[in-house]
Amino acid sequence: MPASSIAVPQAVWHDAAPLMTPGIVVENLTKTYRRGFSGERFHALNTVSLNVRSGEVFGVIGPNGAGKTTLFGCLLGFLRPDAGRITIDGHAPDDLAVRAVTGYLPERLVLDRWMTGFGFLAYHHALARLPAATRRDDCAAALARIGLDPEAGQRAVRSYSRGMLQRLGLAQALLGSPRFVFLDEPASGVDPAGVVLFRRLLGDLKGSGVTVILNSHQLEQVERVCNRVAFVKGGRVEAIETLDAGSAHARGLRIRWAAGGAVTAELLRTAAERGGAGFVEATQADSGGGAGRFTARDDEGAARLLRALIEAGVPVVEATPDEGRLERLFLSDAAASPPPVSVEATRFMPPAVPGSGS
Amino acid sequence: MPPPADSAPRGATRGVPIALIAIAVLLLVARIAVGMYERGRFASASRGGPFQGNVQFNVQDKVRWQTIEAGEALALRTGKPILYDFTAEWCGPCKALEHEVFAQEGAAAMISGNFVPIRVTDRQREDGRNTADVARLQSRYQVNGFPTLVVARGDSVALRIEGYPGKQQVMTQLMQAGLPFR
Amino acid sequence: MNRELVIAFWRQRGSAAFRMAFLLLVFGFPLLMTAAMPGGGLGIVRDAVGITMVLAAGMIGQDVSSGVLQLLFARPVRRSEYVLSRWLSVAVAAGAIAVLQIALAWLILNARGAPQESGMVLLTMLQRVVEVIQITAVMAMFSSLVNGVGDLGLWFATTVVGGILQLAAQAKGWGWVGRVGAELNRIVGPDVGLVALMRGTGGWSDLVTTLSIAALALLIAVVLVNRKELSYATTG
Repeated sequence: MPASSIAVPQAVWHDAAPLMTPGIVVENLTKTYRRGFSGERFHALNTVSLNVRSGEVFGVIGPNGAGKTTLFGCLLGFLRPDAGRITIDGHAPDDLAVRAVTGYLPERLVLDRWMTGFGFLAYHHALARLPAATRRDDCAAALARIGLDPEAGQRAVRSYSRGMLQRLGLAQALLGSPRFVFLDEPASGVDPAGVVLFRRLLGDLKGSGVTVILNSHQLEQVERVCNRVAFVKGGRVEAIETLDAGSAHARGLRIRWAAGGAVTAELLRTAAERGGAGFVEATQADSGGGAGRFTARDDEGAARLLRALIEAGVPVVEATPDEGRLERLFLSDAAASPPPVSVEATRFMPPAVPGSGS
Repeated sequence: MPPPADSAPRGATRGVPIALIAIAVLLLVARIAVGMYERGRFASASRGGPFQGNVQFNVQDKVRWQTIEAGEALALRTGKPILYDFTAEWCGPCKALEHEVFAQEGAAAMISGNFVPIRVTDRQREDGRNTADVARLQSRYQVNGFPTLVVARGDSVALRIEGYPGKQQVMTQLMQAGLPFR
Repeated sequence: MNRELVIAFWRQRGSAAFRMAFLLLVFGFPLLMTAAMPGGGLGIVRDAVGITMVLAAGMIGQDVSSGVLQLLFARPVRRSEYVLSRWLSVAVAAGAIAVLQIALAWLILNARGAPQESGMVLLTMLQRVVEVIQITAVMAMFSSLVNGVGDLGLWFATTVVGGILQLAAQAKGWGWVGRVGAELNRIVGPDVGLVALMRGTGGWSDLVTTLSIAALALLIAVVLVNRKELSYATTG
């Protein structure tokens, strides 16, 4: 089955009333734990509010212990929040109807060792209350989609490698074409071929109407695939970044120049303004050259910025898209956020350069 | 292919089935009711009342003890050996024997299956004297203390246990004594 | 009840080598004893506790500690369905095996010249089934309280505490302590009373008590599992 033909079912809800808010809405979610028996309470999640639009690929990143796992737990109905509310397509995450259209790949996948790969998928197919008539075919197709051949499907999973297990987990999560897919570190332990496969499957999911929540430490993967990313730290959402590329959005540029010009911050700022762009920061290299970060409104703006810099006498040698934005979230604390170009407090990201591998 | 609407589940994942709550409540009520009823109905002579000494056990003896006459007649008819339990109300070890052996399903089943059980209760302390039957049996089998278990086949004594040596001992010896005689 | 869950659990138990070895031991040893001492009749195959324990231990607790429940509860499966399916799975398997054991004991006794009345045998079989219902329900409750095979520990602890309380009551004459002890012992020591029922010496009380304890235990197990927070410590 060609992967691009993932069919997304319409939700079959029982109430005839139109859905109030499609997608996932998290309002002031708070979850506290007590450390030890008589320890003090600490907030795993502290008034977290998010809005995941239907059909969006939403990334969740953050340092260890930030509360991402707790967030997932609450979204999946495993944990009950101490305060706040979650609705998934207007229903509680605890609702059976929501569970029926959800797929989940946990971070640590645990399987009954004696089951075969095929048997495992059939088991989950049945648990998901999918029709028995199509079970065989659905499971065979799922195995094929993740690149496991039928012989492997007949072996007990205790003989599977970590990568195979992870792939099987993803297949299980995608059974029955769920509307909501939660992936917790999906590519951990997967071999490079598997990573490519995952990337392709995620890419197929994106834009097909499936809402994906992705928790990953692999920032490049997140940047590549997600529409938006939430940076969670200390139980709070510190930032939500929009990663959508598009010529209508501004982008970051990193510009390097050689030694020789009298380049000052003032010069750079004025040149940027003349080019209709924003100047973020600059550093001087020992060798006399330097590099700076700018934000341009769009392609045209980027071109004008470069022209303005060159006209101002800056010996530009290299202009590259500004990457590592997500990494910077980790490094800076209450990051001194540079003045954004536009009024809305979102920052921008260049599109993936075509041909650099998706 | 979306799941057909009629197989789509309703409700929450966390929920206690009303049926289970109802059954549990009903059974609890039934337990209390039946317990009270039976306690009233089956306060048998072998226990002599609900409170004995300082010990209150809601023990229900599983062995269907026969009266002396009925038991002896039954033994003649069926050919089974008789198990005499010489006991007294004030005797602590007798209670232990009753609780650990006669009130246990398995043991009681075995006893009921292999013997004709007759309980001979000494009333010397309470009444000052015993009935003729009780006195006869006590002297016949030379009962000096309680509990004393005697397995009798016709005129011969197959087993005699004085005191309560513990459940295992009693059961083992009873089992040996109960081996069918064909 | 979820058929898928019930069957999957049977297969899970069946594929656990140690457990099956234990089961064989608990099943076969009393039969050997019966062959050696036929005078004991069916009394040697005392109760179904051993068989049920081997199958029941960790029935829920192991799923919690292994992390399998997360994947399971992401599916449209009611938690109560899960608990009741586990209970049914163990109860049916243990009940069937216990009945088989009685049947074999009967055959052995016949062969060894100690035939049992068939009514008694059938009654004993029925009794085993009812015992199993209680034992499994109580184990389900214990298993919802502690992870891994801690439920065995709880069972043992209950037996010990019940015994101590009863001894104390006997020594000191504390009535209510004795009752508590008796109740604890009753919870882990099913006393079904079918024999007494048949013989007319009561037994309804025992039967109803057994079913009542089972129902309450299952109710508690469902509530416990409903409240369980499936958090897992991870690196992130």
